[in-house]
Amino acid sequence: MADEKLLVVDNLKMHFHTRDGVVKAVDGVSYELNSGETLGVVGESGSGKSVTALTMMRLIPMPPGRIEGGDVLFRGESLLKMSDPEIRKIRGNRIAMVFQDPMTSLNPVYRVGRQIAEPLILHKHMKKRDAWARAVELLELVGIPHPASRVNDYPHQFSGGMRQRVMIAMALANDPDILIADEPTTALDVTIQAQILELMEELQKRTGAAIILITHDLGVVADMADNVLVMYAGRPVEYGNVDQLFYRPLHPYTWGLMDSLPEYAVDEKSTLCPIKGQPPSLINVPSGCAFHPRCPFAKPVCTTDVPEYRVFDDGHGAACHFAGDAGFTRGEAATCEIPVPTDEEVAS
Amino acid sequence: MPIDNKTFVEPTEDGGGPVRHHLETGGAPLDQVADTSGERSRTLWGDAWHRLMRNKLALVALAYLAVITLLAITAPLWAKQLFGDPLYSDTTKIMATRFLPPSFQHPMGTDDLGLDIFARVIYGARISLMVGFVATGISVVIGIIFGAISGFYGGITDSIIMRLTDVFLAFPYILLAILLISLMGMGLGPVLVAIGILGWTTIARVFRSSILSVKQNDYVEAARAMGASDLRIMTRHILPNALAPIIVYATMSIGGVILTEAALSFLGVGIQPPTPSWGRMLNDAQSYVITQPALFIWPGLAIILTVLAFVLLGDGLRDALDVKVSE
Repeated sequence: MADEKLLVVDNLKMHFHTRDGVVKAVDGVSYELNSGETLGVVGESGSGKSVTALTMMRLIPMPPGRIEGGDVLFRGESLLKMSDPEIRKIRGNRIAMVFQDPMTSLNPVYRVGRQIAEPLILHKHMKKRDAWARAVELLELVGIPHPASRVNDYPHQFSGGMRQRVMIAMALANDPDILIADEPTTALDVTIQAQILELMEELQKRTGAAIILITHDLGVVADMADNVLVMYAGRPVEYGNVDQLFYRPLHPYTWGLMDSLPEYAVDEKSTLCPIKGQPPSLINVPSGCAFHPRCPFAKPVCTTDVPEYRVFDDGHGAACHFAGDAGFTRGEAATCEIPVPTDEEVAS
Repeated sequence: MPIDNKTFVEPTEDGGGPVRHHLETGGAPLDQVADTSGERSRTLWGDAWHRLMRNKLALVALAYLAVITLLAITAPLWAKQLFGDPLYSDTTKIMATRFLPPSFQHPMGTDDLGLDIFARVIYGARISLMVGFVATGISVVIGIIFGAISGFYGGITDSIIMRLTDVFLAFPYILLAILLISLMGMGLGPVLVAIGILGWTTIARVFRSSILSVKQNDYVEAARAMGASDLRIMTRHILPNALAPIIVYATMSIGGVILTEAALSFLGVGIQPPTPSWGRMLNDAQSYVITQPALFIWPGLAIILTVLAFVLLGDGLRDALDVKVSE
């Protein structure tokens, strides 16, 4: 079945049953991913970005986690219904992951060559010698100088950026169909961030892998992604391709995210405009629209009715009662409560 | 489309312009092929050894233990020839040979049976060190297995094993040891087994907590995301990282075990005569404490120094194996 989608996430719900109550970490997320595409998943901490990915890989311990509904189809097969040995054949082989902190994601007691060789030995049943040779090639591929001698080094002999390259080499060892990058650059210097992202883009072109890029950096998303999913409190609030999302954002939360970016506040008259308040507790998600307590445009209906996710033009959708209404756009709506001081005030 | 293995890549972090890499030369930049043989990085254990060697106290302890171990192992080759039979005395000459002061012939003097005290202390080391290593070995094997299962699986399995260790720890150690030995009959074997079986609980607890903390590490999650099985994660990723506290604790507990054996022998339930053991020698010296202090000073000193050496070595190992304090 050639026309099967690479990955379909359908109304996925992952809840954690804790002593304090049910944490609805992921509550009805859907998206599709095709080969060679990059999907950016953005949202604040605790919005369910990472949990969605970990659920897909079945890396959430259950209990306390429990899948309350939905499914994840990889080439038409449900990842959630696979047996443990079956899902292990997917992990690190067809779907690979790069974690956030390269300083702690490598095992300190093994040479990096061995660690890169591990997925090859696990999945391709390569001989140690061959896997080691391939590890050298992979290190070279991710741009590490002197790979033939560097394979013998231990993780602590690498810098943060270099370690993230090693992590990427490990993830790409088996030519995965999907690479999940969970905030791959958050722990790195800005200059190294750019290099790592460039590397991922270049390798994607070469391998045709799809990338799920989890981040809270809109700049990164604008650079890398084809499509963007914005999440809030475990639910998708907006989805669209990069142009749609950045030029015609529909959801007040997306506007808020963009107004919080320093790049968008370069005009000296405007101030940085953060979203007020805190992300909600996922145990007591606000009634109606989860964003209503922080939304400057909230109306009575927002506190009672959960907004339905509606698709507007060409796949671009949002979950807001007023999305798409005439006059309900970011340009007019973006008002910041922090008063902007006039020149006279600044002078005095 | 698979990754093209032959592609050239420009390194981005080493500054210099495009450097050509090629696989036929082992992936090294072509103009630096001669360099690639460069030093192989020191291993993690090599680093730890290096740090241990800089700790003077641990170094002295290690040297002392090395000397006494060497003497103990080789004792049957030279002790009898140089100092006379340390096990059986010639009763006909006993009055002439007993309680001799230290001399060249008898460096620590002789005891009530006219046996050379130095030779007997060295023979005692054979017993003490063997009990120390073997009994601790038994404890470590049992402790690691139970601790690993407990820490890795958690839940009800963990609870059962931990309650079992509580039961063991609730009994007075020496009394339980005496009970086990009297059930098995006295001698070296029962002492080894009794001390070994009773010592596993603390090892299991230490290893369990070590595993619990290693389990939290991102690289364990990364290994799982790579498709590694439970067994592989346990043996390849968690065990090697959780081992350091066990090495430290085991080293220190060798000293404790030697002390326990001495106590048991002193009480008369441990090693039986004529085999000399330090505890047994202390027991024999009881009647001569005032008149012939040499009889208890030398074995007592041997016990103190050996136990201290193991504790100091354990201390040094703790610093050496702690990756956080590495330079």
